[in-house]
Amino acid sequence: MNKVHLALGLAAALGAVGCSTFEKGATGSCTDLVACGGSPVGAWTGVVDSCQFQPVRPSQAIDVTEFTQNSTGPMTAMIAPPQPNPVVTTQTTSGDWCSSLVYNPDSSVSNVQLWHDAPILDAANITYGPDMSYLTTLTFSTKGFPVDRNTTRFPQRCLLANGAPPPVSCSAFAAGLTTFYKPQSAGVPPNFDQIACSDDGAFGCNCTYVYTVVVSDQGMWKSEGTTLLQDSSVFLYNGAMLNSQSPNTTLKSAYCAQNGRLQLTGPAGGSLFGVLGLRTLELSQTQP
Amino acid sequence: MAQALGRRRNEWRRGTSVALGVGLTLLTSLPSAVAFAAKTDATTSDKKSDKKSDAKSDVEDDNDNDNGNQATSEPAPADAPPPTPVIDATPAPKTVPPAPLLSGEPGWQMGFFGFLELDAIWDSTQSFSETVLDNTIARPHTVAGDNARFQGTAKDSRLGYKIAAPPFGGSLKASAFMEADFFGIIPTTATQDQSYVYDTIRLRQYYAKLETPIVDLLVGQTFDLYGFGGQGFFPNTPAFLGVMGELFHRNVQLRLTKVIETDPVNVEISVAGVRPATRDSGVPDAQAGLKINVNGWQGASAQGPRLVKTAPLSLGVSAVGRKLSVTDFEAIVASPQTVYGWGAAADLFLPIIPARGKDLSNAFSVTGEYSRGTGVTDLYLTLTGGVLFPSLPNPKNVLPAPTYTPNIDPGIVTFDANGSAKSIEWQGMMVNGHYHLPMREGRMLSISGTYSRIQSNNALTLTPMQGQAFVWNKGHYWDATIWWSITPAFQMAASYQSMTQTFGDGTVARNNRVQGGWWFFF
Repeated sequence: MNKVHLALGLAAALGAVGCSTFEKGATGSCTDLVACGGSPVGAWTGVVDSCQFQPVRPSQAIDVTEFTQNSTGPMTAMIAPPQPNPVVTTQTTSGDWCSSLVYNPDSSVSNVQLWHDAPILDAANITYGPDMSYLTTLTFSTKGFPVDRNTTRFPQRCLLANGAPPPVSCSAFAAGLTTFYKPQSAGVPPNFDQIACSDDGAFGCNCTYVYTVVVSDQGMWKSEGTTLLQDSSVFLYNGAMLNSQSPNTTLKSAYCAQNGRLQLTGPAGGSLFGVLGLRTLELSQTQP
Repeated sequence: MAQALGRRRNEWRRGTSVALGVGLTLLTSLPSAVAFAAKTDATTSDKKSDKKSDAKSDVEDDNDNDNGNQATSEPAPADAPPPTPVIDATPAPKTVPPAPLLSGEPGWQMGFFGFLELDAIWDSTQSFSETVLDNTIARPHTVAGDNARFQGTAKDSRLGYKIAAPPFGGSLKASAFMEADFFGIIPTTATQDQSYVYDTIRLRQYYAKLETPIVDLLVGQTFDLYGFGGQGFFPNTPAFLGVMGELFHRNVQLRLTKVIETDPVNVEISVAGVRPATRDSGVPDAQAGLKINVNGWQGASAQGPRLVKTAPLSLGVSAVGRKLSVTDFEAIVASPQTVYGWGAAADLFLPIIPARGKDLSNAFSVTGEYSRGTGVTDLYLTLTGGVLFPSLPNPKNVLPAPTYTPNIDPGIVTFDANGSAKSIEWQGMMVNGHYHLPMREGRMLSISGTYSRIQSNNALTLTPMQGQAFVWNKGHYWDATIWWSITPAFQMAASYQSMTQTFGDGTVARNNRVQGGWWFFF
C-alpha cells in the first residue's frame, strides 16, 4: 500500500510540473512553410495562399509623435486597429465615443479617427532583382468584411459638439469625412474609401467605409541558405512613413523558391516583411 | 445546537493544543507572565476584579511617579542643611502589566488553525500570476497568449485564530475570528524572486460575533452575505477561489442573523450593512439572505481545498442593493450621476449520495450557484471583463486631452455614448460535484469537477468600438481534480483547469492550467 501511495504521489507531482514550457513566439495557427532556399529572383504576384493573424495593440504601440499627429490630419494608416490609447501598453480607457471627431459648422471635418478592423492581405507584388534590389507591395483591405466591422457610429452629441447646427445631414457629414481622408500624394489609396453615412435613428450618423493599406518596401536582398535577408531603405504605409512600424533591423524570412512558387515564413514565430500578423505567404511567379 | 457546539469544540481542540504550545513558548520568554499564569485557578469574576485592580494600580503607579517628580522639583528651604545622600541597595520592584488574556484561562476558548500550502502551477499562457479568478486571458497570437508559464507559490497558506469568551449571563456568547494568508499587495517594483518568496501577509477575515437569544450580531470583515460566501457553498477545487462566475468577495460589514432551529430544519435569516462599492455614495450597501439547512440530510462537504466533513443539505437565496454615485463624465465636473445596482443569487448544497453518519464512503455531493445582477461586478473577484471608462470628449482637440478621474473601481459602471452612467450587467452560474471513494471512510481519495460560466449583456454595447477588442463578455471554466489525503492532516491534489473568454471582436482566448497542490492542515 505504501508503494501505491508513493507512486500516486509521484504521478501527481510529475503531472503538475512535467508539462515543460515551450516557446513558439506568437504564431497563432499559422504553421511554418517549407524552407528549401533556391533563387528568388523574379516577379511574384499571384497569391496562392497566405496565413495572417490579427495583430493587437498594445503589442504594436506607436510612439507619441505619431499618435498626436492625428490632431492635425489623418493618422497614418496601419495594420492594427486603432486602440483607445496606442502609446501605452496597458489600456487606461475604453475609447472615445466621438472617435476624436471635430465637426465644424461648415460641414468640414477637422479631425476624426474612424475605427477599423485589422485588414487582411488582398494582393501582393514582390520583385527580387538580379541586382540584389527588391520591391514589395502588399495591399491589405477590409472589403468583404461584415458591415458592422466597417462602421463607426457618431451620436448626435458628438456631431453637435463643435457648433454644427442641428439637424446634421449625414450625407454632408460623409462628404466631410471623405475630404478629410483625401490622399495627400498621388498613387496611394485613401485610408478610408467608399464612405457613406446614414441616420442612426437618434439624430446621429452610422458611417460605413472600406479600409485599405498599401505597404510598400524597397531595399537590397541577399540569401543565406534557406534564409532571405532584406535591408529596407524605404518603408511606407499608404505613402507615409510610420517610424514605429518600419523595420529597424534586417528583415528575415525562411523561404523556398522552386517550380515557379515562392514560399515565405516569418522567422521564429515572427511576422513577414515587418508587417505584424502576416506569418506565411505563398506566391506564384509572373511569367515574363 | 448542542451538536453544533460539540462539533465546534472538537474542531478547536487540535488547534488549542497548538495555541497552548505557542503560549508556553511565549511564557518562557516572559518570566513575569509566568507569575500571572499561576493565577489561572481564580474564578472569572475574580479575574475581572483582579484586572480592575491591576489596571487601577497601574494608573496609581503612574500618578505616584508624577507626584514623585513634582516633589523632587520643589526647591529646598534656603537655610536647611543639604540632605544626606542615601543609596538604597534594594532594587525597586518592577511592575509589569499582565497580558490581558492567556491560554488556559477558565471559560475562554482559543485556538490556532490554518494550513500550509504549496502550489505548482503550469499555464498555457502568460496571462496570470498565481490566481485566475475572473481576470482576463491574454489574447491569442500574442507572445503572452501563445506561450507558457510555470509558477510555484506558498502564498495561499493560512493562519487563523479563534477566540470565544465565557458565556455572559448564561446566554450571551462573544467570539472573534481572525484569518490571514500571504496574498498581500506586492509593490510593482518587486522582482520575481521577491514576489514569490517574500510574500506579505493579508487580512482575510477579522470579525467579532455576539450571539444572543434574540439575534446574532457580526461586526468586522468576512465574506459577503450575498452569495453566502464561506457558508458551505464553495466548490471543491484547488483553484484559487472564486472560480470564473462564482460570487466570492469579502467586505467590512455589520450583520444581524436570526437562526430558527428545529429538529428537521434550521432557518437562517440575515441582513447586513456593507461597505459600499464607492464611498461617495454616502450610504452602505444592503444585503439580505435566507438559508435553510435540512438537518437530516447530511452529505460530504469540501470547501475549496479543505478537508471533507459532513454538512446538511442547504439552500440559500440572497440579494444585494446599492447606490452608486459616480463622478460626472465631464472635464469640468458637475453633480455626480447616480445609478442603482442590485443582484440576486441562489446557492445549493445537495448531497446526492448522503453520508452514513461519519462514514463518507461513496458520498457524492453537488454545489451550485446562480447569480444575476447589475452594478455588482466587484462581488465576482477581480471581474471587470476589460470594461473601462471611455475617454472624455475633447471637441476642441486640446493637448493634453482632459482625463476622467473616477471615484469608483473599474468595471462596475461606465458611460454610454450620451455620457450617462450605466451599470454593467453580469450573470454567472457554477456547479461542482465531488465523489469520495470508499477508502478510510471516504476521507482518503476523492474526485471533483467544476463547470462555471459568466456573461454580460451590455459590456460590449457600453464600450466604444476602439476598446471592444479588449472587452470580453462571455467566459467558461471547468476543472477536474483528484484528491488524496495521505494522512488526515496531509493532502495533495492534481488538477486540470481550462477557461475561455470571448472578446468583443469574436476572438476566443483560452488558458489551460495544470495545478499540483500540497496541504498540511492544523
